[in-house]
Amino acid sequence: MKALNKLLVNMGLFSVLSMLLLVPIMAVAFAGFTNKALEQTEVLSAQDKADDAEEHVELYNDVPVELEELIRKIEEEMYTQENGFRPATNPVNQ
Amino acid sequence: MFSKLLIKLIDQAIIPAVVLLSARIISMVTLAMYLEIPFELTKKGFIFEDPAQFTTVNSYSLLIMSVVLGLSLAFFLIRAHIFHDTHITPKLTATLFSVRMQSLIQNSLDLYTKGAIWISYAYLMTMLTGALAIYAYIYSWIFYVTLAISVVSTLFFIWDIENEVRPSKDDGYDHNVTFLEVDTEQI
Repeated sequence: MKALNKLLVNMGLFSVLSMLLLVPIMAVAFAGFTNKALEQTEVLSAQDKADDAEEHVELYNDVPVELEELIRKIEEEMYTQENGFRPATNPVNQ
Repeated sequence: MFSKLLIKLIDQAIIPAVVLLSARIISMVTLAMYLEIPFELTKKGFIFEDPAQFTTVNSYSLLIMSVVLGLSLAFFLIRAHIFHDTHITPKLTATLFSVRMQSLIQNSLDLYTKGAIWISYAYLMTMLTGALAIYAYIYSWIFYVTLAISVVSTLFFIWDIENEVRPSKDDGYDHNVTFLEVDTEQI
């Protein structure tokens, strides 16, 4: 019993010593950096890419490409109504 | 019940821990202010916004810690080599007593416990700077500086232990053992 008490007390002392030795190491680990700058850079580069993509949008009669299909369908419909048959080729490109 | 050696080691470890902790905190704040690097003090510690700025401040802060560690080890080693009570010169002893600085004279237990603590800190710092250098959180040359401090101080510490252990040729004892060869029948 006495030996066990002695062992426990000395283990406690040893753990206190270990903690003291680790204090400066913990202090060194007590610093870091956030990814705010990286995130901001990523957002900015994504915005730049989006802007670049917008600059290279092919326009269809000064209309964005997304509307091209819709306009083409309307023009085909109008051609069909006027001439009674569907155009063989795209009338816009003629 | 209490191990006297462990209590002595704990006693000797408090001041180095406080010194190194202070060096770390003061150097981080001073460097960040000097280099005009913004930082926040949060629950996670000093937080920098830019990884490059963090690396700069962290590196020089660890360099200052290593310099403080090196100066402390140098002071300890000078005391061990010059003011160790086992091999201090009588002239120096008299001088120290005349100027009332006899507290500089240290016994072996004090010196070796201090040495064990300071050299433990040196090698812990070396391992830490090595790990940080591998992950590029500090400049790699900081690790080499810390390693050099640890190795040189260890060599000087071993040299002092050798001075302590090695028997002197003129140790004041009579080495004549001829009396052991006395014929017991004549007595």
